[in-house]
Amino acid sequence: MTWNLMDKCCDKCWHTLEYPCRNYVRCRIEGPLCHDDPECRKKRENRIKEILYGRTGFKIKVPMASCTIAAGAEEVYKAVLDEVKSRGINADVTISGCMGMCYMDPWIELSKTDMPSAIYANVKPNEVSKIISEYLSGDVSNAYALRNRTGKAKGEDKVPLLEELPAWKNQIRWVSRNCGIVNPESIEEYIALGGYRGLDRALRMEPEEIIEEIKKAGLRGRGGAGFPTWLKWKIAREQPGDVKYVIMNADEGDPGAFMNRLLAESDPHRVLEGLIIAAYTIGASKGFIFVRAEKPLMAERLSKAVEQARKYGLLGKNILGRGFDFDVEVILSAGAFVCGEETALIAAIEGRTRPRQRPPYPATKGLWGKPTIINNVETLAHVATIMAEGWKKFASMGTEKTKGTKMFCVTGAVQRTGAYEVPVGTTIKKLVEEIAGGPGEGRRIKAVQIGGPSGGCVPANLLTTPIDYETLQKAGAIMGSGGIVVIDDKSCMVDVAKFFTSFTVAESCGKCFPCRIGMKILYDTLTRITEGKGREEDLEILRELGEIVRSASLCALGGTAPNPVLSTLRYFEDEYLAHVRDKKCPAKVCRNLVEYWINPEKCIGCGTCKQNCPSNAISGEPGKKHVIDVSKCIRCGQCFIVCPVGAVEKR
Amino acid sequence: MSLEVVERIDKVFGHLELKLVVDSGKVESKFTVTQDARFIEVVLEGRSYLEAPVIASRICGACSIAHFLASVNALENAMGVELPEDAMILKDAMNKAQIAQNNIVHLFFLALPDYYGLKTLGELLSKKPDLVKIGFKLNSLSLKAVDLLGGRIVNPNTYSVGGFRKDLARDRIEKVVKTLREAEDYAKQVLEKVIELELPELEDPAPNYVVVQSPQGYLNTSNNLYGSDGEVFLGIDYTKYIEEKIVEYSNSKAYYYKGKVFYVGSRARLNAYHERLLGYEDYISKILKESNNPFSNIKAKALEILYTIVDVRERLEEFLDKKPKLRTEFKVRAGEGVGVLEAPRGLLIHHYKVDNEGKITYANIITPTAFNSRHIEVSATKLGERVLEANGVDVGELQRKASMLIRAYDPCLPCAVHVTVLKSER
Amino acid sequence: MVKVIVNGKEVEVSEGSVVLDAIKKAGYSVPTLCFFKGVYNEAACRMCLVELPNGKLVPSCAYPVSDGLKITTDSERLRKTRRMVLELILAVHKMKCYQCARKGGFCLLLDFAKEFGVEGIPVCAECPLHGEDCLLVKGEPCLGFLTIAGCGSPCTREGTPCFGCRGPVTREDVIETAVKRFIEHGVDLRDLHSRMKLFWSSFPQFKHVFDLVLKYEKKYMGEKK
Repeated sequence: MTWNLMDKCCDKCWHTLEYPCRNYVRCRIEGPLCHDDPECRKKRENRIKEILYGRTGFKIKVPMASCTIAAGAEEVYKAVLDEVKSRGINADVTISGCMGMCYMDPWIELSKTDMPSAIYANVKPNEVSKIISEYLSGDVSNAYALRNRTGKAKGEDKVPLLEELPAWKNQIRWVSRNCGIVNPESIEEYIALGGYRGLDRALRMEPEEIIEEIKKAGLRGRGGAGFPTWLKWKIAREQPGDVKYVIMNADEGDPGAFMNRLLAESDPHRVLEGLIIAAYTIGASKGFIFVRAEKPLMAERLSKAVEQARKYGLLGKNILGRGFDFDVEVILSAGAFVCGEETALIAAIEGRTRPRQRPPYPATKGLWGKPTIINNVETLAHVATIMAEGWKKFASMGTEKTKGTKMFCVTGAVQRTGAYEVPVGTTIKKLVEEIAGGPGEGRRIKAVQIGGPSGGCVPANLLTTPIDYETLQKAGAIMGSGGIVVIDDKSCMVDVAKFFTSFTVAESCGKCFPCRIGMKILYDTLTRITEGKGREEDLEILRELGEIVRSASLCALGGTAPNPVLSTLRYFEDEYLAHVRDKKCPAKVCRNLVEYWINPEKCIGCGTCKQNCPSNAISGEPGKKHVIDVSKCIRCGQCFIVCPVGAVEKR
Repeated sequence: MSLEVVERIDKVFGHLELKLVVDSGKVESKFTVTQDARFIEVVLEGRSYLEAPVIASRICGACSIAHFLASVNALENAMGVELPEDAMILKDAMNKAQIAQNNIVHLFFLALPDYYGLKTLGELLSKKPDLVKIGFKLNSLSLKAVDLLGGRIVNPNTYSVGGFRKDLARDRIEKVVKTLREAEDYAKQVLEKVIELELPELEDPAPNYVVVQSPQGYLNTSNNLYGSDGEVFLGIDYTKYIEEKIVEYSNSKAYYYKGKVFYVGSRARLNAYHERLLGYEDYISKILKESNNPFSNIKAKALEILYTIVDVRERLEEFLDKKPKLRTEFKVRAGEGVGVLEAPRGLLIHHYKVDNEGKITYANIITPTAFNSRHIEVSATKLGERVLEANGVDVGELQRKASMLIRAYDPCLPCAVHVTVLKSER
Repeated sequence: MVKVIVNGKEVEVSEGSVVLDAIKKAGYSVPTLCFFKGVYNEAACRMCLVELPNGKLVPSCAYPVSDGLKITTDSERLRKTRRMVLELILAVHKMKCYQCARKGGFCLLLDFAKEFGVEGIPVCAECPLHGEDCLLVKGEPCLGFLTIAGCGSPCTREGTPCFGCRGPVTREDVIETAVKRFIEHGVDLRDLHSRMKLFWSSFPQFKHVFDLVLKYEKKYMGEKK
């Protein structure tokens, strides 16, 4: 067993968990600080090298996060292990988090001394053997990207550097800097890469100074509302009383947003560090990590991180000898979208179910009536990074009102799905088209849905809008947690609004009437419209009711739930009108409003459609043109799917 | 010299027009109901006997009870329903309470200002606040009595063919008694004021009347009619004695009793049955001095207020100590019936034919104002001539007196409307 | 003590009280439905919304007072919102008023429905004759099941079946239950139709009520056979 960077280097160091070292974090890398011994110094340098480049000089890294596992990373990992074992290669096989570039999943990274680190994308288990032998023979021409160049490997010029990839080059990796690099299950690696420096620095400062630092940095909550983090902390700090709580909201519920999961799975120590800093700032001695049970890996990684931190005295009593006690409990939530509302989250921890009226805000009266701050994963990761890097760098990015960077999950009709970190103020266009690659050839972006089910749709002509809390609000959307769903011309906007509304109808807690009933009526009305039973007055109902639900609801869920309807109604009224007036769905999505017909010019008379039709609506002799009887057609779409030549068309 | 004075009368229920044509010392008057048709009789046809009184009571909000009860009477006669005595008494009480209330409204809100030389109730209120306040008080008390007996202020719902729906609770009757006892004193004060009023002189040119025969007492319902010539006849024979004529210029018809113009209303009732009113001799003798003056209708009305209030109270007091039988069983059957009733403004006739299922196949309704319309014309002519004699052609005086006269009759037009199709082409 | 300005009127209330207290002290009122002093102030019904100067709508029963807080208790927008919220509540209300314990008009929803002019509650809500006493059970063609409440049900109080003079409730499920019960209790459907035509036939917009009644008659008569 090799020496662990986190352990004592020798007996000359007299610090124990009971008598913690004030310079523990710095001592890990720069040390030894409490005594002078070149031997110990050497020990550290060697270990750090080992961590970063592998013991054997050949490191194979496989990303293990929920997303990559879903894409098949586990099989790849097994294949790599088998390969290394069977060929007797002397290599370190480690895991890492996800890079956030989902379209590459699963990828593996091979790095060997004197060779460029090569990343292979979309790896299948049976390709592993070939990749390893190729790499070992000094050929990287089949790699997807390189982390660095050495000029020694074959085909190196043909492969772009990671930084040159369009998906990477426009990003600023600030909180996600370690994602895909660090082993998320190892505190050692995090420290070796400079982790817990922020905590070390924070504990040397007065809480007021930290608040000042965050204020100067201009950090705003990344959970959606954009409330200034320093202000929340300041209010909580100024509350009288000894018992205060901090809560990390890791209960990510937006469909299409996964940056918090990504951060917590790929770099859990960074978010934990942020939580400890927050606790120190407001004077809390107990913290909670509220994480979804539906995301077991995230919960596991966070629990592991808490355990490790506790083991090395970064949590517990007298942290780093500063007389600051703090411990964290990981709470598994049952998973409800409404827990994005702070008061509902608190209620969930307390064992109740529903949000309550604010004010009093949680910062003054929260968990069990005590001052409580709730920050989401990304915000806390930002806090840790700001404290480590200083506010100036952070404040230099972003816009006038919102500083720094923000992670966005771009999904939907784009070529490169993924979570990308860009400075706030980047235009939607840049994010969607340059970074995520746009919808691909021959297709056109119709709208971009920002902020999940609480957000709104921004039409194509407003894509140049810079992403910021205020500008998005003006456009009828919200930043939310940062999920961006790109909608192309194959989607019906009424259907999109219906989808998001169905989500909020299901997720409404049912406490206040406007949200519980209003949203249901909105949903029913939308359903009517998509079924072709809509009337023109329905649009007015949607508009009026949406406005009422927005203004009269108890919590932010109801306050934002009508956004998808209202924004689509605002920008795509013509599509709604086509549904209610002409009973036509322009995108040919709504089943009841499309009509299938067989294009006689294309039909080859194979009879496949006739065989597959469940309602015997298709007639025709083999070898002759087939015809659909509209009166019998139930619009199931089977013929459309099975036709080998695409002769079945919608109109 | 010819002059047309057209007076659209205010302070009456509904819309009417009186045209006085003065031509070289002669006066001709035309009483025109300008109100639109309501087709209530057509609506009634095909309706069940349970619905008919409900519809009938909607003819007029002022005297909805009168129409309701007349309709009920007609249907009960048609189907041969024998009502228990208690129910009859209570029914009459309902009618009387309503007569009192209607008379109060007519006196204070419509007619009285005329006799003080004023135009509106507002002016009267500033001149004679005590009197008007008594009126208001009296009105609200009588309304309360109507409310308690009828179930609500308009469109009664306590009664349907066959009797009262529910037994009236004792405390409810007590309340009515208490209310009316309170009202008695006010009514006396009003009567004493009104009886001293000076009326414009006018002699009735056609002193004939028809009233409902009261078998005993005053204002009690029966199925017979009584004419000023002393003849008593069955209500169902009304067509034999009362003939109707279509008037081209009016939406109402004209009626003649045995070919003579006649009048109905409080004055008719008093003239017919004044000897039955015991204990009111002083007042009656004063009123009867002018009994031939159409204007004296308002004095008769004031007397009726006092009488009905006292009478209803006395009748209901008897009810306090017994459990009255207010409903009877009956079989729905075909028949023809006429309900005659003394409505606040006079004789009201409802005439129905009913089929086996209780559905109405024929309906005819004749209202007091329709009976009075011809009498108003002849009185107005006489009045015009008198004014011409005394003042010469004075349009202002003509208008003032004429409208005063009409208001003294207390016409109520919405129900008086009848549409006659003179010529139908298709 | 903190100063609160309600509709421009200054009142002083003790710290820690809610806006509703200040409103009451100032002599104004707001409709409340779910609020029960000392028992429930979770602001669920949203009827007691008041407006802050920044245009936010907050529930007065749960919003804490602060010094200099300005509140508007009545405005076009508030009335519209309250009305809409009430409509929403009524939209999911079961409307089985004929078996409701709050018979005879002790219904808060009904009071607000009257105040805001929202239609949809049948007369049964105000009728004191429930269960065995119900006129329908006695075989009378009472239209109370189908008629908009608000009159105080004077007719059924006197034992007279309702004639529907206030117009019909247009909600389908209410009509369905009504027709079902009419048939259950063996009321002559011709009586029912005649009664419905009495006050409703003159409004073309009520035609669909007639259609629905006929539709459900067909359905339930078929079931009965």
